[in-house]
Amino acid sequence: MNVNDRTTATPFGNHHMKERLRKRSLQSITYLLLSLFSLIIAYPIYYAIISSLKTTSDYTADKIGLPSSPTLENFSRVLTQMNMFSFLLNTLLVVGVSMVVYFLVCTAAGFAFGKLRFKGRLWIFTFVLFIQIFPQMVIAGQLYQLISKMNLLNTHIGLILVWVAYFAPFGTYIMTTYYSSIPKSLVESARIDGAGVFQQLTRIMIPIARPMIGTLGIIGALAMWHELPFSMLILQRQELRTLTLGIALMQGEFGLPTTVLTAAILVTSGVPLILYIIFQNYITMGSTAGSVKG
Amino acid sequence: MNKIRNTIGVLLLCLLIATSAGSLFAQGQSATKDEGPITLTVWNFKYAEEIAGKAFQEMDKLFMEQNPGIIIDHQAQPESNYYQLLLSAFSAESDLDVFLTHTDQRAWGIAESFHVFDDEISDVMGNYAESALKACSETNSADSDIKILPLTAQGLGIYYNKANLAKAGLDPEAVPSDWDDFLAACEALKQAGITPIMFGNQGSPFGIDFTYRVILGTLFSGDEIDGFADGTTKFTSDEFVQATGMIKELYDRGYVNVTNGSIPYFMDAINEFKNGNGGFFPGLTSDIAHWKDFGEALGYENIGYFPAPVADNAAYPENQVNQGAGIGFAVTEYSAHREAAVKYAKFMTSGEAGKIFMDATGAIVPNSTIEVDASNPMLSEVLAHMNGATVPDILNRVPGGMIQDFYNFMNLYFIADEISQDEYIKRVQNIYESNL
Amino acid sequence: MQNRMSKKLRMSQDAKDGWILLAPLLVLTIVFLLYPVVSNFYYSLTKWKGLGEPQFIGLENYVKMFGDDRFYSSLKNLFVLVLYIPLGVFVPLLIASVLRGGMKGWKIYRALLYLPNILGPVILGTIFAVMLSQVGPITELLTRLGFEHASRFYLLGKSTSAINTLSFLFVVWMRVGFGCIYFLAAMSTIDASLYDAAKIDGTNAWQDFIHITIPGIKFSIQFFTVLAFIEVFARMYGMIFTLTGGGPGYATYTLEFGVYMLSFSAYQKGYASAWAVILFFFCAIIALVQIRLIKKEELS
Repeated sequence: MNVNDRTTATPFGNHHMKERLRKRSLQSITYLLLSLFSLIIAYPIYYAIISSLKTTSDYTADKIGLPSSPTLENFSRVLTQMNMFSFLLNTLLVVGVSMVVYFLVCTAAGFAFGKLRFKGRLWIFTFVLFIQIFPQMVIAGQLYQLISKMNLLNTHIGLILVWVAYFAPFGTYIMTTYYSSIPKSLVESARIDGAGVFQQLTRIMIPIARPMIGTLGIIGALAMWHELPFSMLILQRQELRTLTLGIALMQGEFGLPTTVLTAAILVTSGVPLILYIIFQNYITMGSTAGSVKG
Repeated sequence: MNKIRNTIGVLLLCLLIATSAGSLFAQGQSATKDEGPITLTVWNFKYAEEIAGKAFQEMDKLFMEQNPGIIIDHQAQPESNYYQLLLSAFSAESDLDVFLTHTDQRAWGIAESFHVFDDEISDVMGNYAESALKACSETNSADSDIKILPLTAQGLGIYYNKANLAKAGLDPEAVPSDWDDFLAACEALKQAGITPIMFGNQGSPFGIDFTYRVILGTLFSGDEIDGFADGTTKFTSDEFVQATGMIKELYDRGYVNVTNGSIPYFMDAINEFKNGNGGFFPGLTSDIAHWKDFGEALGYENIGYFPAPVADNAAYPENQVNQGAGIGFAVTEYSAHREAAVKYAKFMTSGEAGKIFMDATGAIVPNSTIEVDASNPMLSEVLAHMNGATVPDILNRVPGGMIQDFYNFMNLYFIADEISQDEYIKRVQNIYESNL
Repeated sequence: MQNRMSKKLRMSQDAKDGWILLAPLLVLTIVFLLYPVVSNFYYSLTKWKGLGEPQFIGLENYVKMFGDDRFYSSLKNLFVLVLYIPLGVFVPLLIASVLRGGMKGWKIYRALLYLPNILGPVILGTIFAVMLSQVGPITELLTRLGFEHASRFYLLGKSTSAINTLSFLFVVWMRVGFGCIYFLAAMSTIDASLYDAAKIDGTNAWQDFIHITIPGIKFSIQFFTVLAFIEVFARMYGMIFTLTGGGPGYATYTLEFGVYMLSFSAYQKGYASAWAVILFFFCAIIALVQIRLIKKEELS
């Protein structure tokens, strides 16, 4: 007889069954919450899809039904009016390069905070955490002046530097936590061998950080992809612009009809969505979610 | 393993260098060169729009054909943050030569960086409509401190669908511009199951906004409207209170399609009206929601127009709200290519280029060198009003910073119906004062 | 003796390495973040358009701010937003703890829950503005179902419902995806034998949750809460701008949004900087709490 099968009689009835009931009701509540939250995102997307396939008269006639005569005119308008393809390439380029720099900066700084011990470490860490809280609008004005004086206006480099400056503190924090949790022994051996900083970086720190690439990647890349205020200020030319600016540009003075707006939303979200579907299994932050039976 | 890592590292480094080189090169394209062609950087918040954008491209092509030494680098900018971008560009003296701008306080707030055109346009000043020049002058004068060259003469008015009015049993040829006639027409439309007034208020309450502007145009004199620029005229004035009451009456009587959630986005409202729904639409005279927009959709013989619904006690019943100029081109005061920039601005607001813009968008370009299509009765009618008794647009005079808050309170009062009229008036006056 | 010496050597070697490794981050943050943040203090004492020369006016901006309706509305709205934070932490916590036990259909839910993070606040703000508009599908649906005054159901149009909708969407709903994954990862570090021991003792799932799960990931919960505060005070611009524009009235105005409107819409950068300074103090408190948390964790 299995130890786990032991039931305890209580004044309120069979304990084991109550336990199962409670577990099931907890699960039902959770299913309910999950379904509700999923509906909140699923329906808008569904609505965006059907709206984008309607002509304006179709939309006026029936807002929530399926399109009576589906058309791709909204999508073609979005794609021809705005050079979405070039925006996409720019976004991929800028986010890609930024992520490399971001990863290097965060890993290096995370290692310094997490594994090394030196005077002033905590104070500097405090400073880094402190400085990353401020909203973009508070620094936008002066930042623009700086970038302009440094002749980095209208350059991808300028935006990359700003993005890394703004997003790296948080990434550094994540890496710091990660590195602190790694046994010192891994690092010690290399240092006793007399390895220089850069060798330590490439031979130890980066390989050790490999499990975190997913986490850091998702958090950093999404933040950068969606970033609007700095991109808008620094990239003032069409050929440099990113996807997130695309919708803002299309709206003109009075906005867009809903049919075109939804098409624009779908076009700009298309790539992140596809990437997400492909890579969603990597967004687990090192946990083995769902496969733990307990 | 090491080799692979090193190779990747080197490749990334190269990518980084390539990107920076590429970016520098891209910037270099608009950098000034002493010999060779001049490149003018132009910013335009309408360049990404479907119709206007194409028109601008054509106009640019024409300019470059006639001026082979100048290249036009036309950049679209988001309208929602346009003035933030301009402010930033001016404060850093960024690479910018010509830019499209409105003629309201959003522009005048940063106009110290606009170049003054007076000398350069003395030869063609007579071609521009006087009211347009005044709107483009920092001191409201027709011959000095002109910092913008007008591209459109924007006005507001009420359009109506004659067929729908007929369906409601009204005489489609009678113009229901008297307030009582207007209310009666709305009632008839409502009884006939037709949405009386098509307001597009979602997002920004343009429906309420436009109606305010036209009604106030009949209640205030031109000078009084000008008084909104410095606090002389107040929102607590009787006229504003009256206008508020009039619009509220429209809501209270259910003339503003509040049932079954039909207050759509402005653009959607335009489409609904163009699809034949609705009796009245408060619209513009240039650009969109105007004579050409509606005329082409519903047929010119089916569209009527009057400048404003006129209350019995309106002091200026004939007034047509005329901004003088809606949008225009300005030149940066620090531009390195001033001569070319001014030439371009003059070109784009007159003659052939102006005609291209007018034909494409239906905007009224206030320059006598542009032939107006006299055969279109709608256009002629609108022009007659625009050239008749006119009054400035209140929204061009109020401090730019108050507009968004003003809109938010319109929403709160008319649509959410959460505060009393007195409270609303008081708040609006507060917003106004804090932005002066 | 040799030990002490090698330790000292290691310390100074650490210091050298440390500074080299930190250099990129420090240079970037000092140049691009510190200078702009600190400049706000200076500009808050001036009257400045953002263009031309600032004019020194002392504390006038602060006087104006403390008499400004918008300021108090912003504080009130921030308060409402903060009230939703417990919910925003508890919901992913609950979901994660149940998911830890394995659940059917988890993959699909995970995909849908994380979707808001993928789309981003600007797109979400735009699409919800369409969805919840007075002529949106919700109203249409209700009308079809026979509700006569469905158009009264205008969530974003009435003050109370606007701020509550914004709070729910931003503080609770948008955080669920990231929260679940974050807490699941944290929970995977809890020693499984603790649960087994509890089972022998005959505890139920709820007790496990309270006595094992929550204490086990206490630091993660605290940190997630701090993150939520940061999001509320300093990351809401995109969603507010696209969803409601601060309205109706001042119902969805926050300090951050106010800084934007005053700087770039009203050309009152000096006054906006005063708001930024107040926001700075809120952020400073959050930062200090965060640092306290980390220090405690480090020492334990």
